[in-house]
Amino acid sequence: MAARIAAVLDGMPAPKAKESIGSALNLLASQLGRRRVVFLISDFFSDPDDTLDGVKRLLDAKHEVVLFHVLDPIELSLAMDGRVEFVEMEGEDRLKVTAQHLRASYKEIFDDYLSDLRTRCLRFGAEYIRCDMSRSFGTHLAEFFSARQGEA
Amino acid sequence: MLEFLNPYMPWVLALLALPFLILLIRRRRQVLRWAAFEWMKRAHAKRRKVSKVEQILKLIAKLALLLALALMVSRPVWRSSDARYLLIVDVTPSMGTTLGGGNRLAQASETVAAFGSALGADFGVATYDGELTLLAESAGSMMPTRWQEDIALSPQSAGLTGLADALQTAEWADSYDTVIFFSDFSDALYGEVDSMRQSLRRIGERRRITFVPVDSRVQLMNAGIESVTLPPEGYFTRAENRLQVRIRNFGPTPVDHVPVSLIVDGDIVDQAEASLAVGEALTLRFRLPAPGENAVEAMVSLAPDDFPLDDQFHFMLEPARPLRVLVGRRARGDAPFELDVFFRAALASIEAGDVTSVGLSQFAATSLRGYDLVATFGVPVTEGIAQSLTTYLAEGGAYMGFADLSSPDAWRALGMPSGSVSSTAVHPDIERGGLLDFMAQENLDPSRIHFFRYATFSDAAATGVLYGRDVEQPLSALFEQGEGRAILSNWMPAPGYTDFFYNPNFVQWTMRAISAILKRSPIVARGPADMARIVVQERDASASYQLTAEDSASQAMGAEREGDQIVLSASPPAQSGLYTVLKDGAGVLRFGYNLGTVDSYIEPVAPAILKPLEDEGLLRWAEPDRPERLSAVREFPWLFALLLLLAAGLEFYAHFLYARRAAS
Repeated sequence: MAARIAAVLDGMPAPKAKESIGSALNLLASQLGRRRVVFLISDFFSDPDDTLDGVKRLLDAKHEVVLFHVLDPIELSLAMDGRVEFVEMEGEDRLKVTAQHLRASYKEIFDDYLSDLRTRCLRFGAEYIRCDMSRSFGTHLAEFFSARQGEA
Repeated sequence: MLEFLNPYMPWVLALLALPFLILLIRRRRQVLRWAAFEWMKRAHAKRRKVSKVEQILKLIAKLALLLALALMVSRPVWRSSDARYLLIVDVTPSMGTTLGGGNRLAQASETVAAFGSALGADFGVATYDGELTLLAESAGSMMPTRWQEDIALSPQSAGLTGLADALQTAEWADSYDTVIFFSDFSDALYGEVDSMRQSLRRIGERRRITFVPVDSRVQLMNAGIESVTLPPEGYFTRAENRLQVRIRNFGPTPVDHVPVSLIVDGDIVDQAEASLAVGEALTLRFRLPAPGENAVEAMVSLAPDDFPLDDQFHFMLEPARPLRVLVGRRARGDAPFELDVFFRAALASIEAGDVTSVGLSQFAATSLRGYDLVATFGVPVTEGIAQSLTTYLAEGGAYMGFADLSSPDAWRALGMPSGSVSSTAVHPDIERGGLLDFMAQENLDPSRIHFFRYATFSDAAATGVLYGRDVEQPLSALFEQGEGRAILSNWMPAPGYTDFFYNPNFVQWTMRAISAILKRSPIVARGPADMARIVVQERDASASYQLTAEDSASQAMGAEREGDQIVLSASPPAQSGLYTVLKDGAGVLRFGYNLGTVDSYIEPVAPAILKPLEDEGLLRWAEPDRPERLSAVREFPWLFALLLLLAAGLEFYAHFLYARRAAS
């Protein structure tokens, strides 16, 4: 099953415009009928409050929500040196920095964000899975389902 | 005034750094699309805020590092003034004292070069030997070249008084306001405090002077030869003779068993050994074989010591030259022997002579010029003869007068002040038991010299006058008139005195009397002062005259005709040795040349002697191995260190701040 999901995801086209996850989740909550398990697979780099509002709406509708937080390992560690020009993924903002100078403060802020996101998810009753993409997403899914079956 | 020793170096540095700068400017950035851009922006904003201090500190550190590098290559200096230095090197003979592998002068030359490099100001280099000679001047920051090749020892001695005079008279020296004098400060020339004080005050009126001692060693050894002279008993060219060599210990310590050799034509002919206390002089007598027909080279050689310049004395020994002798005598009359028989016997023992014997009237009419020796026996000294003799003596003649000179008028006629004769009576032989006693003895050893040993005619009183016991009038007297010398004696040969006059001692007395008045010495040697006037029996002043030594370059001589001879002049050579005067390449005169012994006192003046002058602020010393202390410019090596330290400190502090922030 995990392999099928992964294959479907791989075949999905890239988003064409900057969209809010929160509004998408609100729409989904209004359309889903009976109780479902909702898998959210994202980098969750849009507004976290907006995202968590959508998650809360799903949870309020008695759905089960599982967040797969997909992260590139370099995003976690900023493991690079030298002069780098970072360009916004979904915009045109640019930032010229020396990577090693920024590493410590970046990691500190980014870790805070991840920690905050995870804490809030758990508090609402959603499940939060961090997917370090140094391993394939399928592996993370397999681990998740394996753990579910073990709990059952 | 701040200056840069390498003002162009920062620009050179900048040019060298240009490729690196271009590389830095053109360095590419990696472009990354970043999903977590929001957090990157926040991190950037946060870091920019909190690391402002660190960045400023690091920037200052980098600037300090750059500044240190720029200062290091451009060498900023502070020039205290526009002083012009005159570096004067003492080249007097005492600078020839051995030192290390060379001598004091070589050491001084190196020290001057070191000072010149360290001064950082315009300077000139001059030598001093009583006169100042400018050798070279620096051109801007360029060191003068080749001046060291022109430095050579001078034969002239000179001290500080002469330096004060020279600085006053040398107009070119006026442009220098600071003098640095490099000398050995030998005790003989710099040990008189009052003279030094006056000279220092004179110099100090117009310029600042600093002294650099070249050689501070003490307890130096130096025994040297002061002179070589003929013995007082005379010199006889047809017999074995003796030469007197006077040596002295000039050093501050006794010297023992110093070997001394007389070398003739390269062979040692006599040797001696001497031990001398401090300052002691000793006269050694050396046997000299009968000279041959030709002039020979001779040298007295002393064992080498710290000052080799006075260890040898060079001279030529000239052979006998037949004398032209004029004898004026009375007619034999009733006398049982020739009146001048003892004179002829004595003359034959001294020289080969061409004796012309004339009678009374003929003598009065004969011109005395051209005769080496004139003798009269019983010839009354008339006014005409006295005039003739006086002229002859004034030109350097030698005269022996045997006559009844009991009348003071006769003495006076010959220029002998009879009044002073009686008042300056000498009795040199009193202690020996009577002046003429030996003459009564028979079969005396002719080689024993009695008379002159105890009563020399060359007495210090200038007029050697001999008196017999209980005789009021002088028996004989030697005196000088003009350039000549004369002996007058009232030992008038007379009938009945045959034994007396044939007595071999009387012949010997006559031999020595002749030797005493002939102004001729077989020793041909000159000193520096004699080089201004060298007479040669030549007539062509336009010929090329050269002075040459075996081991040195020849020098041209000045020539002026003076009557029937040529007077030559030359600069005094710095080296002792045998020198030859060449006329158009052919030798016409050969002589030994020797420096004086003024500079033989090579011990440096004792510091305690000069202490009062230092206390008065008149005398300033500089250490020879610390030339930078006299430099007109000051560098700041500590500034580089300070900037480097500052850069390292700031960098370290920035890292500390960073680490502390990271930890929190």
